[in-house]
Amino acid sequence: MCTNSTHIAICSIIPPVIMEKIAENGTARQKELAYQAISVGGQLRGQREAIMRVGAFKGTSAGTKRRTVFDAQHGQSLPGKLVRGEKDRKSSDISVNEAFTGSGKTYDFYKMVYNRNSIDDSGMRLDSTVHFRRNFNNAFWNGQQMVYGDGDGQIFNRFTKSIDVIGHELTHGVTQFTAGLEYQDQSGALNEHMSDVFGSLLKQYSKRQTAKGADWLIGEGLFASGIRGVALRSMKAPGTAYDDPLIGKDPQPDHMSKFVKTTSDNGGVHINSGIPNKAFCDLAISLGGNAWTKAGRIWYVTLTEKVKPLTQFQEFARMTFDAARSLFNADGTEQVVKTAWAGVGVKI
Amino acid sequence: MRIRYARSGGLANIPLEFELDSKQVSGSKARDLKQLIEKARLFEQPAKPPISRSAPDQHQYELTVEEGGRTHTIRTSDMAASPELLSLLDWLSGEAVANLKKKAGRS
Repeated sequence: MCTNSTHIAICSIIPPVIMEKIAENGTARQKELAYQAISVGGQLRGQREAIMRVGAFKGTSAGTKRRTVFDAQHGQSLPGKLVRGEKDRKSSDISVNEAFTGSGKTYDFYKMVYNRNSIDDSGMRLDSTVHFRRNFNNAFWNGQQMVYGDGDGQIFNRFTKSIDVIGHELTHGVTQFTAGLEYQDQSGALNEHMSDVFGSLLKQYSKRQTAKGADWLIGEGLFASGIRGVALRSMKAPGTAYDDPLIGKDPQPDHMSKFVKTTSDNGGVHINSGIPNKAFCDLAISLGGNAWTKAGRIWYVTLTEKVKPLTQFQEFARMTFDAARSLFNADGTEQVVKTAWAGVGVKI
Repeated sequence: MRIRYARSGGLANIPLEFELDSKQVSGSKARDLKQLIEKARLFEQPAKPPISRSAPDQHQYELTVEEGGRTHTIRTSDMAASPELLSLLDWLSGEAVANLKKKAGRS
């Protein structure tokens, strides 16, 4: 690979150590080119460590919060132009700042509450790309980084606007590095459920809300004006987040008796996640206090220590029961877990 | 050319469907569409992406094109589609939303 600019030509023959120096000390353009070169080289050689050391986070090291934001400039290439690193000043672009701040809050949440050091628990740098494509009504985790669209202004606003969406996307990364839940049917719905749970807990933690006082909404504020809806999903009352002539009605079920069998959306991963979402929300409210302390701890341990790629709802519920019993020395918490699952039609 | 466009999945999972006959499109829109169709080389696109592993929150697209007795269906996603195909998909998404707004009396 060889990339040219008016200032520097970077080819893969340059040793990574020198490339890293360029990435740390070069001009903005040189940093960007060096990052791209090392990123591609790292992917080819499977040397993620090389990428991890580099970039716009001069003065930071693995094990600390490291964020990088890129601008796709409405194109389709990733990661795009480097626009903000860990030590850089605030941008004049609101999407850049929201992606930067949101990923930082997500890092802090996982570190402070669950002692997890970034997505991979090894200090992985949090990369985000904003302004992806034109009028793009989506945000996703591509296996390596977050990607955010601006929305079309007709149905959606920019996707960095909602902090729980940022937490949702980063949690897809956590799931990838832990349970590896397959993104299809029930295991896929659990993958989505995990992202909604920790996305919502991030928002609650940021606002220091109790489980009872939280709104349990995912993607609040994302809908453009005129759309009749409060959010993309409601964990507290699945199926009630929106009802609009343009986009239809929220299709999430709140009970196993309403489980939706479909081939679209990878077997309804964003639909049937409503069932475990409600179980978690009901559990957290029943336990009282802050949802991230007990309910969140049970789910975190279940995700990182028990869940397998093809785990189904019933098995998952049993795992949360077992996790609650061992975490809280059979103090009765596990019975509250059992009741919450029974409420959505999942028997332990 | 007749085009049937369907999108599912994505973080919001709001399905979108749209059908058009390129002969019914006129003016600058027709020129844009013609250019996008030519660049996307629809009949040369594989029916499925070479890597079909599902990735979280990506849109899934199904595009069926009919022309001169030939029919071809393409299934792809946000990360699997070629840049040229993505440009056409984005154009069709915009048209699908405009069509929905018209039907809902919000245009």
